[in-house]
Amino acid sequence: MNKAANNEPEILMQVRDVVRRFIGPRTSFFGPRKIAHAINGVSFDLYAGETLGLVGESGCGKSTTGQLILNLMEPTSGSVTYLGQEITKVNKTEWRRLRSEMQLVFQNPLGALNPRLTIGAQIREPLDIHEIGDPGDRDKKVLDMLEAVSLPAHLLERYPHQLSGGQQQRVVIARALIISPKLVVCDESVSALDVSVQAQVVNLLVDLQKKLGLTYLFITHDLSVVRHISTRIAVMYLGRIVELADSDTLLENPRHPYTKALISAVPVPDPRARASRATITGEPPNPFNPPSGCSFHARCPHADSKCNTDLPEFRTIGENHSVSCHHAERLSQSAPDATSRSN
Amino acid sequence: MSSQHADPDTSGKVAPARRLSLIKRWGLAGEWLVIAAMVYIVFVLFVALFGFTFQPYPHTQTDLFNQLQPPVFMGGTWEHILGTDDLGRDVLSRLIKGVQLSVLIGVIGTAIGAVLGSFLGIVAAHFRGWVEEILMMLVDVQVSLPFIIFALAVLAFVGNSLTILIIVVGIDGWERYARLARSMVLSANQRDYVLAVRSLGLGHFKIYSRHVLPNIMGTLIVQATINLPGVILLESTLSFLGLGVQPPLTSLGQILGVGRDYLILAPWIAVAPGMVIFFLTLSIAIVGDWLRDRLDPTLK
Repeated sequence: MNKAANNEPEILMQVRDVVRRFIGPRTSFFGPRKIAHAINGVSFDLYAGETLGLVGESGCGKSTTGQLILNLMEPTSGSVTYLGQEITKVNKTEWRRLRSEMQLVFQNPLGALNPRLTIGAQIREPLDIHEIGDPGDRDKKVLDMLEAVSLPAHLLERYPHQLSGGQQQRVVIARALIISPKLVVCDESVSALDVSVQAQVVNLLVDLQKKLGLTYLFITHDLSVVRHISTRIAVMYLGRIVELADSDTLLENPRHPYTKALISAVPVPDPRARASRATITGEPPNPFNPPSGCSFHARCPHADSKCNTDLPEFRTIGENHSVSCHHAERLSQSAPDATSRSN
Repeated sequence: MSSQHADPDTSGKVAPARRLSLIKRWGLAGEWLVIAAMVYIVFVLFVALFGFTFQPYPHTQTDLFNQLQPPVFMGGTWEHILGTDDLGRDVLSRLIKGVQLSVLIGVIGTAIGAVLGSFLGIVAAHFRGWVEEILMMLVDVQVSLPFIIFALAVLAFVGNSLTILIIVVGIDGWERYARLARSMVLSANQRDYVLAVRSLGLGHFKIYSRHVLPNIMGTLIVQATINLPGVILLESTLSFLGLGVQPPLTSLGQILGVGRDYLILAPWIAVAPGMVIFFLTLSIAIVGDWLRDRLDPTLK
């Protein structure tokens, strides 16, 4: 809904071939350690002012991607570049400045707030840490920020557990935005909230983006939320981005069978639409023991022998539309109907 | 702190001028056992601090003509309210002096253990790796070693003075704080609010002092109240065995140890300090239990 107006958008962040391995327990006493690739070669750009929605099911590496971008975790290989600077290689003082430009908004707002500090103290804390403005200024800024997230000023002296979930999430957003970041990573930021509150918070995020020129990486498992906020959407499956496109393109013309399945899983308020759902069967594969070839082939209704052996390349198939599927061209617009049920 | 939690509406203009009594504000209404325990603890502390002002005799003053006098209520005189011991020393005076020293050792000893143990626990959780391995191995050694044997060995080899005694009883229980602090810091470090301030670039020291410690302090304080009676009992045990406080100083345990020889003939010598210890440890345990419920935010 929020198309970037300029023709040549500035690239805020560049993620290239990022791999993040986790080492698991030994299979036996002398056996080798198992290795899981939580992120297995992820590349994408984040343009200034856009909202990139990152969707996928639990355990596909969405949150890990968010943490890698914020340098809360180091990639095993690959690079994350913020405005031309590789964030894992900048020195400490420089990183201190850079990290104030990127903020994280958490999934569980109550857990993200210190139960023993007042709301006011917590919103103010980033200013204190980065020593922005003189102390009197900071109090005023906190009040302004509180107003920006539409919270009443008398909440300043309250403690987190005295607030509702929506109010808590507004406080978390206020704390993230008070030092005027450029990039905000929202990690399942509305998933823990009631649907009505979700809409309020999503609208708040959109308003703030317009007002402050923010860039969002919006991580969620919920496509119905992401379609309201995203400029572009990336779909992740088992540590890889399988499809990336402008959100309208992706939602109307998905090419990857996994994306199709995700989209058709979103409830549609039309009882007759049920028949055309593309469903997938089975569980997501164990990342310690990934399947050969295309990691989706075991659950894919279109898989053939090539999918079993060859890893599909992440290739561009249209304007701003990339997908990693051997059969992307074959799976055209009408595909959801053609998808056979394999169970 | 507790008052802020109890009435969050102080900022509102509507709040009526309600004067809650201290008892209500601390959630003590109806908790008579806790109130009694608190009163007793305050009384003992008062005696420990100011007992010297109303101590009838010096605790070392002997009166050989009045040996083994019974207390007033067992047919004694008002001259020696709680009777005298085998050397004619006034039991009440010795009790006051003993309480003073036992409380001193108990409080300082507990503080040493709490600070040392918590610090090592935080260090283990912060550095992980080999630092944690070594510290946790020390904890396991300490757990598997009967502390009384350890204390006896130290006192027998190093010799005895009040300072050494306080340090030895202070070491008792450090491993409990260390384990507790380590596990709580490990989990606190995974909390989103710690992650949030860390990603903001807050230094380690500030993270611990402002975000981690305040959230684990309650549990550590409760652990200290659980440990305090143990420390007082340990001091009493060591003194009873003759390795604790040495004459002419005296402590509750030492009086008890001496009184043991006259248990049949003059039971008041041992019973008086025994009762003081019993009720003191019981009271601290009751208050500690209440404090645990009170400091647990999930129980509010």
